[in-house]
Amino acid sequence: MATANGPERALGWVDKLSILLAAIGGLATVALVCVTVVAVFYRYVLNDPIFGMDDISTMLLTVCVAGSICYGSRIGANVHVDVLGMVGGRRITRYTDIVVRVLGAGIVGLTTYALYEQSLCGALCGFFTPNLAIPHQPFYWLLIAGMGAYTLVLILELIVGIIHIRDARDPNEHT
Amino acid sequence: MSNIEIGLIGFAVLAVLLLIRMPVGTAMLLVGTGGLFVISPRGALPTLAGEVFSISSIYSLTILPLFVLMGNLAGVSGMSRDLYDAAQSWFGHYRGGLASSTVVGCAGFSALSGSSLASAVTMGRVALPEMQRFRYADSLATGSIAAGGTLGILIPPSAGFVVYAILTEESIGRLFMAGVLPGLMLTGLFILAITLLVRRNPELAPGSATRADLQVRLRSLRRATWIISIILITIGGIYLGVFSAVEAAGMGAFFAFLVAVFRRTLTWAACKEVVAYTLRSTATTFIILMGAFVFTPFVARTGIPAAIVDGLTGLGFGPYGVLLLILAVLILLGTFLEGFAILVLTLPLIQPLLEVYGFDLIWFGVLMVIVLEMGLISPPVGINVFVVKGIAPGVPMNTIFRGIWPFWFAMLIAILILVAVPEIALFLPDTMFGGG
Repeated sequence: MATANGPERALGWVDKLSILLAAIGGLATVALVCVTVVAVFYRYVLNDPIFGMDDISTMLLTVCVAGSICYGSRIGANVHVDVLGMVGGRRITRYTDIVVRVLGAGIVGLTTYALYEQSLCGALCGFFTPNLAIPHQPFYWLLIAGMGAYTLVLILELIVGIIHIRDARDPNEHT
Repeated sequence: MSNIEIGLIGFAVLAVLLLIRMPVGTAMLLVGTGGLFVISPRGALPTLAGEVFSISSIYSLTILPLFVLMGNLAGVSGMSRDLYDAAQSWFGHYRGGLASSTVVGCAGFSALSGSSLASAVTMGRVALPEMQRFRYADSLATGSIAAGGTLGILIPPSAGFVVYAILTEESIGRLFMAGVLPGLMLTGLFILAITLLVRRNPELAPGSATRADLQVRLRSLRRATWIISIILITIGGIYLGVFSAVEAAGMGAFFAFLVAVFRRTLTWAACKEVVAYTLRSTATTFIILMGAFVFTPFVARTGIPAAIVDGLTGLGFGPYGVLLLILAVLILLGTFLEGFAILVLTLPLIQPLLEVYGFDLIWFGVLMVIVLEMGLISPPVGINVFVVKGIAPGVPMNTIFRGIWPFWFAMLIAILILVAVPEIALFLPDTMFGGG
């Protein structure tokens, strides 16, 4: 069996990055609960709704999504149709997986770039929330980090997959 | 090349990408962006970035992580076990009663969890050992778990309804309410299927639990009060107009958290597990939604939806003929495509057709979600079946698939009843506070 120490070690580092992003996303989810409870309490119990809570919730959702993307890709959150795996098995998927990862890295990388381009426009393009005018830019950056890390995962999984192409199982295949 | 031809090529490429196991979300992103680039090169990248950011910052979608969190906290807190115990103490002594209890438990847990997988896993872990202890046939035991789990996306909160609502711009609250009565009806049909099966072949459920006395039943019901209260607060709150759907999700998650803390089940390990599962579900849904939000404008610009409308209306099938055709195609797709994939791939094509015929989109949403449920247990890619296989590794796949057919037909009957009597789905949304 061929060794793949370099790319696999790099994948390990990206895993650490994905866990860091996931931790941020997890905190955002908890904060989302707190914000919702506080908003409900002020609205229904104190009869004094807090202005702009929706904006905070919305931006927390962006953090949650940004934190989940790369982590999700490493724990098999992506839905795919596995008819080919059942019919052709590893004999075929060892090659098709390469194509899938190349295309996947391409489109996710392009999405990262597109987000970066868009983020540069910032407030000039009216990218802030409607009530509290929270600027979108930092949240764009978080999404860029999440998408960028996902691109890295796909590139590294591609390299590791090629190194292990003759093995009975792809080390990064999620079933 | 005409836009319709570009669209058809796009669909063909998408089919190939899905066939070679490209994740649904990234495949749609790729085809959507590529297609937009061909049709309007300068608009492709801004659309890509704009749609990806916009789907990640839609207020009504905050409901997804909140409800997933609530379901996971309910699982960790042991409330799902309480629900099964209560159902078992009331129904377990009947022949096939443990399978019926599983379905009832799944229905109850579905009211806390928007995910059919979570319902099948959580209830399966509790119910399967019990059914095996009483020597239930593997087909009935696993079939009832796989089918019962599907109730997760029909009974609110439902991730399926949220995605449908976002794509069709319908009200999440109204869709949630529309799922309640059909969900209860389907639960009843599942129990009826179990009863008929066991009556025809008693060997499927040779043993049954001893009849619990009234005190034990009431005690089990009292323990389940926590989960029942949270369900009543969240779903009742939406119906009465006390909470919006998002607020109900947040409050539900908060109450589930309090119960877990009160019961001292929220260890550090459990916390990490709950957050990890929540983020996983968040990633699953949002990556597909990102793809759908880029793919949908592409499909709209190709003109294919309009061509389909023209083509089908010209065939003279009439509204219900077209509806049955759509449902038949969706059921067929369900045999090899994942539920969310069907939803996001077909809705841009179906919605204009439904609007032309004047069908109620809330009602159709319920029909569509039941069709997705059928897909969850249809061979060869029924995801719930694989989940149950994970819980029961010793049971062959063929046995599990054999066990799901009666439930699959129960779903088909539910669809036919709902087509004949749409009021079953529309009664609650039409009578909810401010929903008429």
